[in-house]
Amino acid sequence: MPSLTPFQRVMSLLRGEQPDRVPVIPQITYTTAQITGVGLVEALHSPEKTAEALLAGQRELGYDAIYVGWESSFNLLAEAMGCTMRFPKDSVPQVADHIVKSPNDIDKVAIPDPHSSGRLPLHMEMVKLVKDAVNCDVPLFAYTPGPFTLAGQLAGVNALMVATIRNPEFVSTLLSLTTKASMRYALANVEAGVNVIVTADPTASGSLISPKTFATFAAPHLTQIAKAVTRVGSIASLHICGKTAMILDQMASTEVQILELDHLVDMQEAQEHIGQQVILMGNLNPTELLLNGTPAEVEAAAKWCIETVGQDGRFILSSGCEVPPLTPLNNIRAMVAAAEKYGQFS
Amino acid sequence: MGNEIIDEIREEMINCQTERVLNLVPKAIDQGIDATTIVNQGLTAGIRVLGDRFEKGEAYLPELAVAAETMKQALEFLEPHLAKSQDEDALGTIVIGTVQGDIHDIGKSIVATMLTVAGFTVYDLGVEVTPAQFVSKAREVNADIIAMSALLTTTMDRMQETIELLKTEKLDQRVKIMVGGAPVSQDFADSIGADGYGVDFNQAVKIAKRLTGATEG
Repeated sequence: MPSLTPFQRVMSLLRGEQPDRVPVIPQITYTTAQITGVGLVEALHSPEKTAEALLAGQRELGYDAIYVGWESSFNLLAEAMGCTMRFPKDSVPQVADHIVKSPNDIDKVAIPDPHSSGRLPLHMEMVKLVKDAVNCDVPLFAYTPGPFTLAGQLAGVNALMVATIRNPEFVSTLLSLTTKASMRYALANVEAGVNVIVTADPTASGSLISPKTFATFAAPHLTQIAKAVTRVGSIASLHICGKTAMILDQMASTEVQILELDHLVDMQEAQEHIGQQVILMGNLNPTELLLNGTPAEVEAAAKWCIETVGQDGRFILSSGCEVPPLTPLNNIRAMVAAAEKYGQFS
Repeated sequence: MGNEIIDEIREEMINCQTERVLNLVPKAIDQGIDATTIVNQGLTAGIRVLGDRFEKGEAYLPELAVAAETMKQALEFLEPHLAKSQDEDALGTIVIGTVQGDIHDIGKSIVATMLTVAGFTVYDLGVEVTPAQFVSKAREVNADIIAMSALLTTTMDRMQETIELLKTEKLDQRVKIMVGGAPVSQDFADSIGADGYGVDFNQAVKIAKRLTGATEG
């Protein structure tokens, strides 16, 4: 039997069928700069060089999808919505000044156009280049910001946290703006050929806010995005790092098809609770294991994941969060090799 | 006697009732209660309860952030009443910040709050703090400890630069270094020659006390 393309493998799993083996998709973006030698900062301004690195990563390491991204989507959107950014010499840009300092400022902020606002056009151009190159052999994943996290970028995380208690109406108004911004960006990515939209909402993590706050300020908006994405025939995924055991049910109920879980979550428990509702993706420790571990340790952890939660074909082997820039590529190779070795469906 | 109002301040801190706290504090002063007592047994005790609950996953960042804001507002009012006794009881002086290139504020601010609550005099330099800023502030305020936070694997190396600079400036014998942040580990702390590493703010407080000799071991 000829082996499946990564696209066929991933899509087959998402349709509820059993492909040849467990797909392996590390959350890897700028780590691929190691392969082409492009500078992390240099690539920020060059869709060609970013695309080249992302493509080289998939080709050389053999994983089953490409995350079309470089810096975080919530930074890109925050910039496009008017936040002043700082561009460090050796690292990705960061928000330097928050645009929404008081409720009155919300009116000043417009929903950005992915084809003209800030550096979003560079991102769209990069997606197009990658899509043209992989055609339909490799699926593309793209991040879009979780509305709560984007609100934190616009208003400042501390101010947002205080406002959830002192001024909930302000937070709701801000969230309806960030939801629209995120949705528009997500749909532009789908149009450009992205197959899976990953809403990343780290500030809504169970490490920071309560299940009740999540229910009020995060879940409804995440559901809106997932619905919009699936309505146009794309796949919706949700990425929240940190401790999420307390909100797994709520996350699974946002109408996404995939949940990306951090290493702080017990995959076995997650599978028991929500494994029927969503496909689980995770959750090798990005720093301890992928950055600082050995290939043998990576293999052992990947094997455990596959054998524990990968048997029923509703699991994608991945990192718990973004793969750090200087991660040894041999550790990623070990991860891919483990999926090929232990993940075969008979 | 008079403790009722202190208990009330503590409870309203825990309940995030900023306005009630800010109403109660002047009343407590009017009743002749010492400002230090209001801070320690009312405001601080309330934050400490929230901090413990946060560690256990029973309270969350919004509550802690509101309590810290309330504390700040209450201290503005109390400052003139506190002036005389300040610094006398401080366990030591700490300069804290997130390292250059890194804008992660949350964890560092929680640690700064809890160190203040524990009785240290804390200078929070904010985020993107350069090695030169850490060292010159430490010299200026005669600090016992520099506490550095990094949330990115790309920025944690900046911690070592501060330690090197401290040596060059010959302050390394006097100023201790403690580090923390998600990618930081005990091994990493040892490898760069830091004096202490805290996995969370409880640890950070314990280590700060150990480094300043406020507690043993």
